[in-house]
Amino acid sequence: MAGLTRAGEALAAAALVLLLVSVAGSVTARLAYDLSAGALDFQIAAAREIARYALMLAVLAALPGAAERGLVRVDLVAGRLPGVLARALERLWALLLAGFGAVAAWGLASSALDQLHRGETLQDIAAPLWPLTAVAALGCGVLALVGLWHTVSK
Amino acid sequence: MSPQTTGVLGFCALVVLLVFGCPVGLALIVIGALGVAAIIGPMPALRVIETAVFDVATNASFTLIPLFLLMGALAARAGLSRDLFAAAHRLTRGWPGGLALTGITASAAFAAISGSSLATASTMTRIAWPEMARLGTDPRLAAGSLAAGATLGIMIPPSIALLLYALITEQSVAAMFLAGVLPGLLGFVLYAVAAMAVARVWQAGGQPEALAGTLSGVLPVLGLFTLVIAGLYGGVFTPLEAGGVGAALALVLALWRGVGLGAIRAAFTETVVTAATLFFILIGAEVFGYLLSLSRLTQLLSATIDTAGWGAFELMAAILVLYLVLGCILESLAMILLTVPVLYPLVVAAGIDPIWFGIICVVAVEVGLITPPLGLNLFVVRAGVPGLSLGVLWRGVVPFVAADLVRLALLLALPCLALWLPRSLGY
Repeated sequence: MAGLTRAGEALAAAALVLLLVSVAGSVTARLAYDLSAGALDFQIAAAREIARYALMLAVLAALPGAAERGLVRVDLVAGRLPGVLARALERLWALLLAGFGAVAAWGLASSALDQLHRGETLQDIAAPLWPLTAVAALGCGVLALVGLWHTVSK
Repeated sequence: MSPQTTGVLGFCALVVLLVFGCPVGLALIVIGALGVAAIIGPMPALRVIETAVFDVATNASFTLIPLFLLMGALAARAGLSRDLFAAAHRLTRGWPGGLALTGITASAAFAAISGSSLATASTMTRIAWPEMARLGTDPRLAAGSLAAGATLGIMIPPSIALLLYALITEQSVAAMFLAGVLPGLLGFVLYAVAAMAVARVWQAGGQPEALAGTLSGVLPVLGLFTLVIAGLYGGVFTPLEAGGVGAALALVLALWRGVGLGAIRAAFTETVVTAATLFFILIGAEVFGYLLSLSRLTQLLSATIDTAGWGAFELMAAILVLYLVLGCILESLAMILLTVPVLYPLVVAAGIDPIWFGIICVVAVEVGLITPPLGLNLFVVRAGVPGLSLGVLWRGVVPFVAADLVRLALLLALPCLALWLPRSLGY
């Protein structure tokens, strides 16, 4: 499980690099275009769309890792509960997390299939959309597995 | 069961789940989806989850969140905290309050870049505490100043908390950043006065020994800050582009200062994990927002407030109390994401200026972080100083909590402190 979440984090970090390059690159290109009165035109096509989908990958691929490291919670009362009850609650939260991951993965996988069948692409560079959505679905699928793993292992 | 009853029950169930340790984002998703299922059926509830995941994760406005987080993570890796402390010492040397004043100044500057009070408290404690202890600063003053100083950056742009508030309430990011400037400076002045007064009363400032370091260490931070903010307000960048340029410059700075690829990879990983944690709550807020909208719970709360005869002042007072309590048990960004979607419509309906409310809300959230006995910053400082008792910490932070309460009172009495700058510049 740790290998899967680390792989997800690596993929998410790569998506963040893509996001950074698309945003910082498009600013640089725009400034160069403006300063050269249009002589230097190397603006990145579909930069905004690339940034949106890079964000999706960065967030959803890193979600299993975030769940493994600990999501934000209030542990004021939970930290003082008897061991048996605390473990039962942890199992319940993990199961609910698995349920969320499964629903999100199902929804994104369905979207990816729809995009494949409709031949949807990014508007400006005609790159197919479905692989990006499919990878995001995979990230949510891993989140479901992480939830299930914690349900049975705690 | 009427939709409004479902909404009320959902809200109560949400509190129960949170109290029993359910992750905030998960609690919002589960209760939101169950509530929607109870009102319009289970299949639409599943669709709401699917839609919320896609809408939040591909929201172009949210793209700047990981970029600003990355800027902070890279700046921290570049070793700016140590340089800031040395430079702040050069600026504050000889003033009453000694290294406490230095700690507050350096923490404010670092928190402005890092965007996180908890990360700043942790980082600056590691850097500043050994020097403070060596030079005999009273542990109460040292611990209190480090815990409190870390909260100052949340008002100084670029602030992640103000950014999140602006995004979820659809306010101008630039206006929110501007609105935070004077309250941030006011907070700094009040903390400095508190540190100097406490140093005098407790005889707590320690030896006035000069530490090594130059003012030039602050130049990279100043340069990064100036480029991002000047670009933003000079109309050169949009807020998203400012985030991208800031992160890119922080990356260049880190490489220039010899930060290894391993550390840079770690900064990217840390950023995506933090972003995923925040986005999980944003997804939850979106799902819970459907329930609020379907159940018309906000309208019910609004009507209840009207019936009770509450005006804007009473509403703000109640919200402040809520934030001060929540701030003791919940991380600041999570608290904003959890509460603002519920409270914002009430505030707008009561005729309260949304920008002013945002500033009050963020200040109150931060006060909660240092309020004894449970303020999270206190535990972060304690974790960095083995053997430091909570009693010492609590006593040390009281003067700074008092300074914050004065700031909150001034902000409540004088909304112009938050609104003058953005209004003067046409926002």
